[in-house]
Amino acid sequence: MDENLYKKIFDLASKESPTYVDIRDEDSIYSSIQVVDGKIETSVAGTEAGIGIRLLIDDAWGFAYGSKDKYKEVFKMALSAQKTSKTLSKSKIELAPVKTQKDKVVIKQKKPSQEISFEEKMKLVLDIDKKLKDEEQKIKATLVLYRDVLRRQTFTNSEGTLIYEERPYTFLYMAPTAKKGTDTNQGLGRIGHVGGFEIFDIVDVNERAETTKIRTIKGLEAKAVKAGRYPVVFDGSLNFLFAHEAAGHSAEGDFLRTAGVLRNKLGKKLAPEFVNLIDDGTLEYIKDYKTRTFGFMKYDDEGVPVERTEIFKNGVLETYMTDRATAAYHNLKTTGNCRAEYYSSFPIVRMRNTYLEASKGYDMTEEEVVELIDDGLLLRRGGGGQVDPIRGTFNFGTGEVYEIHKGEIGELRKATTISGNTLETLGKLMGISNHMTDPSNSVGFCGKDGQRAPTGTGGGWCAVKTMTVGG
Amino acid sequence: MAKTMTLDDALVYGMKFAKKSGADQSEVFSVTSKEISVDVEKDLPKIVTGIAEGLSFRIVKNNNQGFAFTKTLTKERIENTITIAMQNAKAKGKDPDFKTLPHPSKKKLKAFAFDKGLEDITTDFLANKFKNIIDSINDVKHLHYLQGSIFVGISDEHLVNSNGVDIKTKSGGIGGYAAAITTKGLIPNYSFGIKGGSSLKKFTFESIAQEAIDQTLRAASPKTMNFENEVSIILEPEASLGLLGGLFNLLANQLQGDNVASGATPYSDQVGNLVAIEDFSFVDNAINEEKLSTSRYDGEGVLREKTTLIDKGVLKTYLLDSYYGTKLGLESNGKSSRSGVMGFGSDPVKTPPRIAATSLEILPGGFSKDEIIAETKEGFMIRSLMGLHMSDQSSGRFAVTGFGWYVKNGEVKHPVQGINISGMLPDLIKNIDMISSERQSLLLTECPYIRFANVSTTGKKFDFKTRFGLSIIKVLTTLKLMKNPMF
Repeated sequence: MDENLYKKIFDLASKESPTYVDIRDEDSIYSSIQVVDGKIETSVAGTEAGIGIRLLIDDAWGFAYGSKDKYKEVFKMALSAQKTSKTLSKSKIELAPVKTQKDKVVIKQKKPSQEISFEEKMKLVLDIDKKLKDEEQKIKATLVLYRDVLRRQTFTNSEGTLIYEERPYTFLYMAPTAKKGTDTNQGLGRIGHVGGFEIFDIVDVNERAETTKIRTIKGLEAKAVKAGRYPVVFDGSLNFLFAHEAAGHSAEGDFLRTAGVLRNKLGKKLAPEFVNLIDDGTLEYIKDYKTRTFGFMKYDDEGVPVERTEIFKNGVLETYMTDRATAAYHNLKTTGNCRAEYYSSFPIVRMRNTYLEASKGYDMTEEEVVELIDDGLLLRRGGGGQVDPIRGTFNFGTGEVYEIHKGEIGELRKATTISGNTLETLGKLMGISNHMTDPSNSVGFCGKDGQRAPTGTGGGWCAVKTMTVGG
Repeated sequence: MAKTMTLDDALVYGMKFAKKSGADQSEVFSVTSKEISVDVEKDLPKIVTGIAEGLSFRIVKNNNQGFAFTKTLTKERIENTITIAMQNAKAKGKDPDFKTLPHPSKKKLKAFAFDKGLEDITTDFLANKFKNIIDSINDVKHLHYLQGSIFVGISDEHLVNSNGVDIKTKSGGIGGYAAAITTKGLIPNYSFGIKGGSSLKKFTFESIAQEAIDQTLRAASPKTMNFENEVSIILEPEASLGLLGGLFNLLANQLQGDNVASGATPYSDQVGNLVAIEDFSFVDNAINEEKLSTSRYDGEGVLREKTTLIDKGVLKTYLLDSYYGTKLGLESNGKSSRSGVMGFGSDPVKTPPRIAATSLEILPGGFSKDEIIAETKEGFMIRSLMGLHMSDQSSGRFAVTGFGWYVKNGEVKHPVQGINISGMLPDLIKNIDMISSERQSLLLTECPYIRFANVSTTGKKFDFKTRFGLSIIKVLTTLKLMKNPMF
């Protein structure tokens, strides 16, 4: 925290009579190790540092970034950007009022990842790589990626907010590939949380490697699903994927200024009464689990405290996710969804922990959700997704597929993708379980406007009347 | 605040400190990158300018390498960064596949020309051009400007290693896109124009607007269809090798030396084999100066080249850097990269050199685009695909959702949303039956129209409730009783 520097920047800005100024001052630490087939392919360590200055003057934003020692130049660039922006700007920009905050938030790591030696991290990754191999040598290739990030950022603005935050992320991906002849199947296992190296004491990483390996081999041997339309059950990871990619991205307030399938639909019933769509930055832990969710935080990147946002409540679209400008534009309250990947990124509306939840009285067990489907598919282990929020279409990867016959889970099928239309799928939800799944498994990085943001988290199982399954 | 060095001084200091610390070999990469981007979402501009600089180090010790970076150019941070890179290299143990960091190229070739005009571009200049793009789109009946961006990137890079490589590169480019939405028909639809290159002189802002207009007009009045069959699929160039996701980018990933070495691709041990139809040739033309941010040398100082990966259906080689070239018993063909392209992808300072294609090309075939359509009894012509990144890289299995046009009896009938195609890429490239003679120059690539036979394709018509809702909106907006809620 460099309050003298911030004062100098605010003093420079005051000469321009700004409506608002904010500064993000970052000095983050990174380390990562990638092992391919038992050998460390890359090891990276480093620090990312600099400042980003954002100015709002006369209904126009200007933003610039650079190194701290060149703050005058950075300010000048931001001012120049604002002046140009004014020539293009046709709309009024207001910021929803928020309380000023003075805070220091250090999210604790029981075993700070930054203090763990490279040797220990390397041993972990190499051990996991070994666990992914099988005696019968069906696994032909392995990749394990470990990464930790300690995001250290001071946010301050011209309204008096000053927040220093340390938010650690530690995660590990494992991707074994099974091969038989020309047929291959790549599996994916994940472990991650907001916290430190203690996650590898809390979660049995060897067991996760073992199950990832077995799933990968079984997936290779499984038959493919014939492409077509099926009734389906989403597991918790696909609940998260659908809630995030399809429904969530369509409810982001910045994009909805322009277009989108949920535009001008506030207050409308778009899903059955039992459906709630939640985006919750305050959700630190999930019952029965000891690792923090990947979308947990205290403040967003405008210094607004995060909250549990009920985007859909009892099937009705209640709000959009907002930053301060989009909250004012849509005449909604701020939801604390403003995030920026780095000091050099323009802050935008992003999600945190997003999932579908059943309304009170509608909660089902996982078994009851499966029983809703007579003949269909259980889709598990969502992996990656893409949405077109204008057309309202989405496409997700699903790592495991099981047949469902007469409400019973049956044979395993090959990994595939699913696709659909957001509004139609919301309308076709049949039931949701509120039994949330292990958050250490639900570790995602969402991409938007060239920026990535860590997001979570796995919800409960839910059933959908029909879904296009790729093949 | 600790004293900050200039980037040049930091580089020299880093090399000296690495040597003093006992590095067997060392490499320092410094970059100063300048960015201007003008984004406009509907009527809200977001203008970003920035200058980023930093240093990254590859330190070789005990026959292995460690990588570390810093954006803070103080003596203490530089020393810490090198120490960490050294510790990492030591801890990794000997790597028998690592031989050496590259040596200077014996060939001395002139650096690619840098268009100095890029340095004079201001945010005002870009904003004025952007206004014209927006106006051009909004002047067309049924079209509305949706969003877009123009960006300029310039980078000064300096790569030095202890084997004598010392390369300074200045590169840059300008690019942009604009998207428009059309209200014609029951279902609103949008499309985009995207253009870019290394030269301001050759860049026309108007071409972005024109492409956005043309593409959006031809995308107007889309339908959804119930469909389930194996039919011909014609990929437009954008769907084959577009920046936003093209099917053949998946093939390029499968031909990367790192994936080949690990066996996570069907193409390991396939050099010399027929892997595609005989009319199919796939090239990485890394010396195409017209493309964005091109340079003479790759990310570790090896001369870039034009590499034929698949020649008339026969696999010739892979995309290789020095490490994987050695490991596979081949030579580097200059495919080491430190970054994505101008904001798309990774930060060059933070990214260890890794294999990536530079400017992919599919060579032209013997049919015209019109002949391909005329010869298609039933199928779809696809312009954009969604979900490619979820494909199984190891097998090439994919199932993606696209936007395109329904083709029946040799005629393009109407645009279609939600076309799902699936298959195995290695099988698909043996199933190409027509390639066009005309090619499109895309942001990074050159590509013809390509037709595949018998591709598993499904589609689903919107359900009655959705269609009914859209019909009501259409009537109300046509009668001007409400604004279209979509935008």
